[in-house]
Amino acid sequence: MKRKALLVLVAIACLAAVAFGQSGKEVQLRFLSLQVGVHPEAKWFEQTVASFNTQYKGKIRIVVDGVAGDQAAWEKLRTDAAADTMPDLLMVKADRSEFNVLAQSGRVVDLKPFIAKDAALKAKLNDAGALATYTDDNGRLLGIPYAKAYVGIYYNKDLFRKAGLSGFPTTWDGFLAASEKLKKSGVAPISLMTGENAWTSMLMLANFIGTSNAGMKWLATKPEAQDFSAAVFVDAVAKLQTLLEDYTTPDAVGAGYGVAANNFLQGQTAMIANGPWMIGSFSDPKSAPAGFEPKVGYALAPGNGVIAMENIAYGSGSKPSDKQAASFEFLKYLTRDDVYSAYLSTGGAAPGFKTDMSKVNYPRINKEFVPIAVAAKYKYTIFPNAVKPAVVDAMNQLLPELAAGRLSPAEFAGKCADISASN
Amino acid sequence: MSIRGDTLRFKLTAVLPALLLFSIIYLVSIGFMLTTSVFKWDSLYIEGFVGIRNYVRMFADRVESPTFYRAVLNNLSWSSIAAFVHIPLAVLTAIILAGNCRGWKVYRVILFLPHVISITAFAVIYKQVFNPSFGLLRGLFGALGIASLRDVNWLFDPAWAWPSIIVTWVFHVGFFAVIVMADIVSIPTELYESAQIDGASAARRAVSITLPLVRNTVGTCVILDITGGLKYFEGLYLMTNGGPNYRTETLALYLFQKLQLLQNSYANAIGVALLALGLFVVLVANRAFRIGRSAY
Repeated sequence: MKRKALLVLVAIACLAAVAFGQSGKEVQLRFLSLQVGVHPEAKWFEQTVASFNTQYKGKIRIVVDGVAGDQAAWEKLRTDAAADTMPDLLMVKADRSEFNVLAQSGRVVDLKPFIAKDAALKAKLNDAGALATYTDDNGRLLGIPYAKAYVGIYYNKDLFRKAGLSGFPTTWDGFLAASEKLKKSGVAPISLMTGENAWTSMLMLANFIGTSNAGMKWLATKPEAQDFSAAVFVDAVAKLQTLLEDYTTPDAVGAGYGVAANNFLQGQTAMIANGPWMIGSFSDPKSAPAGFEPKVGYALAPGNGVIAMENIAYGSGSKPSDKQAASFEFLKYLTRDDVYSAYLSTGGAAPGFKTDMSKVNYPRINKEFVPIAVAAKYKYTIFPNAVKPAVVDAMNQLLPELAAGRLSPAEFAGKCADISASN
Repeated sequence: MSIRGDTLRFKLTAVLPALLLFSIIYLVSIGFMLTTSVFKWDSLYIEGFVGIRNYVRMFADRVESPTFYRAVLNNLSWSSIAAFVHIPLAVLTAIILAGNCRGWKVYRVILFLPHVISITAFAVIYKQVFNPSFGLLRGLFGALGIASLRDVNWLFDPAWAWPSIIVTWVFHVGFFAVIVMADIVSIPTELYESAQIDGASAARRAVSITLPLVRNTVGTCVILDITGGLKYFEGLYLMTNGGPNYRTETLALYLFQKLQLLQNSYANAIGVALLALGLFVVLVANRAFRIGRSAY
C-alpha cells in the first residue's frame, strides 16, 4: 500500500515536471532564408534575427537554415513543400509560378485570422494591391507584403557626358539615337543577357511593351490567355532585337547576370535595367571601382514608364499552434519601424505597408528615383508574370536566335505562342 | 550439405547486402520513374493515370518532339565520338606511354590532371576561353588575323556550338589511357620479343598483339565513356543550357529543364527514354567488343 502510494506520488511529480518544462519550453523556429552569405541584405537579416532571439530569449528562438542563391533556395522550399517538412518561416515571392506552387501545396499558413486579431498590424497593412498579390484563389493570405520594387534603368552619367548626351532620353526614338551616340563614342550602350533567366533583357522587353495603354493591358493579361500575335508584343520584340544586334556587348548572347552586371559596373556598358537591389554593388569595392556610385543615375523607361512589382513577403509553414503563434510574433517583429526602416535603407525597396518613412535613409539613387517612379504615367509588371513559366524558360534558347537574326520578331512571337500552347 | 551447396550459400550471402542496396536505390527508383511517367504529375502531387500521353508528346508533339529528337541525336553523336575518337585516342596514348618513352611518367601525370579538376570548374574556364568579347580564342584568331573566326560566338553559333562542346572533353584522354596502360603492361613480354624476332615492327606489334589482348579493357572503357556521356549534365548546363535553340540539348539536360517546370511525369518519361538509349548502346558495345570472353 505504501509502495503504491509512493509510486503514484512519483508519477504525479514526473508529470508536473514535464508540464512545467513544457510551459517554460523555448519554441524553436526554422527560417529558410536566401538572405545569407554575400546577399546584399544578409547583414540586416543576421542582425534582425539576432536581436529577435535576444529579445525573446527563453521563449522563441530562430534557427536560420541559410541557402545562398534564389534558385537553390526555391528548390529547397519546393522540396520541403512536397515532403511536408515546411520551414516555420519563409520568404514568399510575388513570382506567380513560385507563389502558385506554394498556394497549391496548402502548407503555408493563412495569416488572415492572426491579422484579424491584431488591430495595430491590421492598420499597417493598408496596401490592397500588395495584399491581393499574396492572397491565393481561396482567399488565404500567405505572406505579409514586405517589399515593392520600382525598376528603372541605371545609366553611367560620365559615359553619357562623354558621348555628348546631357540627360537620359524620354522617348524610345531618343533612346535609340542616344544608343547610337554611345556606340560611336566607343562604349556598348546597354548590358543585356540571354543566359539564365535573361533577366535584364526581359526587363527591357517589359519596358518596350508596357509604355503604352495597350502594353499595360498586355502585361496585365493572365498567362493562359496571353496573345503573342498582338502588335504591341511583336513591336517590342523587334526593339529588343535591335538592341541585341547593334547596341550591346558581343558576350551578351549566352551571358548570365554576373556578366551583364559586371559589364556595367566596369564601365563596359552605359546602361542596365535592374532593380534597387543593385544599388549596394555600386559602392561595394568587391563589385565596382572606387568612385563609381556618384556616376550612376536611375531613370524611368523612355515613354514615362516604370516596372512596379511586388517583390517579397514573409510567411509561415508551421503546423503546431504554438509554432504558428511564435512565427506570427516574428512576422510582427519584422514590421516594427526600426527593423523595417533598416531593411528599406539597405536595399532601397519601396514599402509594402504603412510605415514611418522619416526613419528610412534611402541611398541617394533611390531618394531621387522613388518620387518620379511613383508619378510615372505607365506602371506595369515584369514579363515573366504575364506568360507561362515554359515561355520564360525558353527565352535563353530563343534570344540567341533573335540576336543573330535567325528568327524574325514575328517568328519569335510564334514560337512563344507554340510553347505556351504546348505547356 | 555438399561443398557445392555451401559455396552457393556463401556466394548468395556475400552478394545479398549489395543486391539489397542496389534494389532499393536503383530498382525502386527505376520502378517509380516508369510508373509515374504514365500518371499526371505537374505539381507537387501525383494525380490521375494518363497512359502513354507523355510518350506521345515526346515523339509526336509539334513543339516538344523536335527538342527530343535533337537531344537523342546529340546523345548518339556524343556516344559515337566517345567510341570512335575519344577511346582510340586514349588507346594510342596508352600504347605510346607503355613503350616507356622518355619522360612517360611526367606525361602520364600531365594527361591525368584534367580529371582531378571538377567539371564545373572546367565549364567556367571554357566559358572564358570561348567568350566572344575577351576570350582566349578571340585573342588567338585576332592575333593571327583571321577575323571570321575571331568574331565567332563559339558556344552560341549554331554551326560551332556542338563542336565546341565536344572539344571540351574529347582530348581529355588521361583517365582511360591510364586504365588501358595498366592492361598493356600486364601482357607477357615474351609475346613482343618473339614477334620482334620474327621481324614485326612496333606498329605491327601494337595492332596484332596489344590491341587484341586489351579488347576487354577497351570495351569496358567504351561503355564507361558512353554511359558517362549519356548522363553528362553540369558542363552543358553551365556553358550553353542546351542552346542556342536546343542545338546542344541532351536527354539529361532536357529532363532537368522539364523538372524545373514541375512537369515531373514528362521528365520521368524522358528518363525512361534515356534509360532505354543507355541500355541499347551498352548492349551494342558489349556485343562489338565481346566483353567477358578471354582475349588469350
